[in-house]
Amino acid sequence: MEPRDPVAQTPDDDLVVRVRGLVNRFGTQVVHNDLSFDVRRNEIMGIVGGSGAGKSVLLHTILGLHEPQAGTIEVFGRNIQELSPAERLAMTRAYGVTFQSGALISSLSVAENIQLPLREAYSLDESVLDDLVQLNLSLAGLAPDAAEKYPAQLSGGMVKRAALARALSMEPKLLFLDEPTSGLDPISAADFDALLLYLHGELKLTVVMITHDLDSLFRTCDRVSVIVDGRMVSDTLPGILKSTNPWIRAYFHGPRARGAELAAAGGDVAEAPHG
Amino acid sequence: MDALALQRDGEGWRIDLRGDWSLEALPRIDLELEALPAAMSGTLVCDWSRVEHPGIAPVWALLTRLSELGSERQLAVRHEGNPPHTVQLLQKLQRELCTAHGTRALAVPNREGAVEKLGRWTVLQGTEAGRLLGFFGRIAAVLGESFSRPRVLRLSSIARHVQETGVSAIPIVSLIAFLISVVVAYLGAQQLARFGATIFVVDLVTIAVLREMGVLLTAIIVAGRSGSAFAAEIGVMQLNEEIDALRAMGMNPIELLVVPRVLGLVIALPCLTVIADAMGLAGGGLLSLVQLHIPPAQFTIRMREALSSTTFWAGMVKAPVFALLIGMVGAYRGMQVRDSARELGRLTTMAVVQSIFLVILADAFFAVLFEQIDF
Repeated sequence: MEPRDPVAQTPDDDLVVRVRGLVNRFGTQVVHNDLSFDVRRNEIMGIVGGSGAGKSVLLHTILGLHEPQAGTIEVFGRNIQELSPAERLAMTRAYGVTFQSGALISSLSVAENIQLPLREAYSLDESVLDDLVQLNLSLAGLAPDAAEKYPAQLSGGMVKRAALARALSMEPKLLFLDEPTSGLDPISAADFDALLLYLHGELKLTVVMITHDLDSLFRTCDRVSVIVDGRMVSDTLPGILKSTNPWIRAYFHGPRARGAELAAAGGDVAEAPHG
Repeated sequence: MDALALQRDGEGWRIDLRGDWSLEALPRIDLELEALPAAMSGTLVCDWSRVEHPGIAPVWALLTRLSELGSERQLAVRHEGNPPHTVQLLQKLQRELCTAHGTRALAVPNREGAVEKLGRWTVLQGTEAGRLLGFFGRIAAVLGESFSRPRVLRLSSIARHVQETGVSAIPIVSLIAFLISVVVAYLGAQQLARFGATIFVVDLVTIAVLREMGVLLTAIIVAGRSGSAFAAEIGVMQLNEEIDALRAMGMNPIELLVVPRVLGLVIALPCLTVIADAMGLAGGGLLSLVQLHIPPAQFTIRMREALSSTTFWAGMVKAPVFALLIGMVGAYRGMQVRDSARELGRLTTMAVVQSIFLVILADAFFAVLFEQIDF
């Protein structure tokens, strides 16, 4: 039978993404060195790392956009390097991706961007497609009149939401977000966090999110993975915060992290304690 | 298997939903939804107990259809038999959408007659011409300033553009001038042989190459190579907000980006024309030797006789004008790029097409002018 629903075939029921022994090198620069990475079903996993630590490269590798030097990548329990083209296509339909700058096709309107993957995959009536555009815009928290706009006419926050609407249009079980709140003002970023939590709860999505936004990380993520020296350290947030690794300590206990941490932990803590 | 079955249930109605309700089944489900009768009223029970893989979109389609049907009559919909968890979410979204739709004014369809379109186009062309003239004025202003402050000319930048638009274009310009002139000489030889006047091939090639073809071919090649490059380079800078950044730092992008390109081209194009002329004459000479057995020495003598004092200059004088047109149109279109990659592509194409058009138009103008003043 055609592997229509890759989710159903997961042997190890808990792991949606399983990366083992990943090695990525560019020239002499080693980005990933024997990296292991797991994403469990129905969790929001945050990926953190310094600039150039290889967060985006990891994402591209999992998506099959980049061929690693070594290592295995399993998504929904299937090794993506061993998939036939047809299986790979079925796999890409089971996950949604938003890229850092939105990556909306600039010559198409928002509605056409959302319809694009649907048109490619299924033959649907125009009226149904229009309905689906409205559905996905609503899910992503955009007003119906955003449909006719072109990407260049959208604000930064709307671009991120439109990209999310496009990613949701194929009803993915797994969502990859590359810096979804970068470049957004704190209000839009907080709205996006709320939207993400809401969708995660309502649609039972598994989310893998690359982010530099500590507020977003503390608010949304169940677990956090940190890329340090080409390897991955994954733990729950409290666990990561107790880590003794100097880089992780600097990242999560630096001056900018304190406020976010307190705000997420206390909620009603107004100011950081002095001393 | 049908995805839904409608039946009466006492006073109200009942829909048994069953089978595959995933996104892939949507086209089929939608057909069945369309077939639901409009005459339902009272209560409607949706039974979800036999549905497999309920997706979001099919649930949405069902809810949309039911709300359509319910908008005319009172229809109370109830979901039973373990409905998918998304039903509540989607119902909420739909209520929000309905209120949003209610307040939204209907867009007036935009029907424009041919006359209106023509008028709009004419006005647009008028303002465009005005803006291009203004752009030329800003370039001229920078050039004027350069007399008192030579520093604004940025010699290293000009030199770089002479290299890029001129020196690196030498091979392609040479090759094309050579080949076209061989073709012209060949055609001329065939026709003139009928009158036994093949020696006039030399006149034909000399005058055609020096007066017209050398400069025109070069200008067209340069428009394709460098006009597009100007538009694309400046356009990408515009997209990256680099030009705004220059302005914000108190620098003049015309002085920094446009003038060096235009001046570089004004220097490079005449030089390229000289090379194209030489290669064209060489091509004619080669064909005369091979096909007509006119030795180079005789070719040179005949060429000198065909030349008047102005033949070479009639071609050369056009080169800087063509260069100015190409450089200006390319840079101007680049500066117009806004917002998106599509604009960049559109304006780059437009830059090439318009600069070639303007070059040919200017060439025709020169032809009439030279005829009138007997140049």
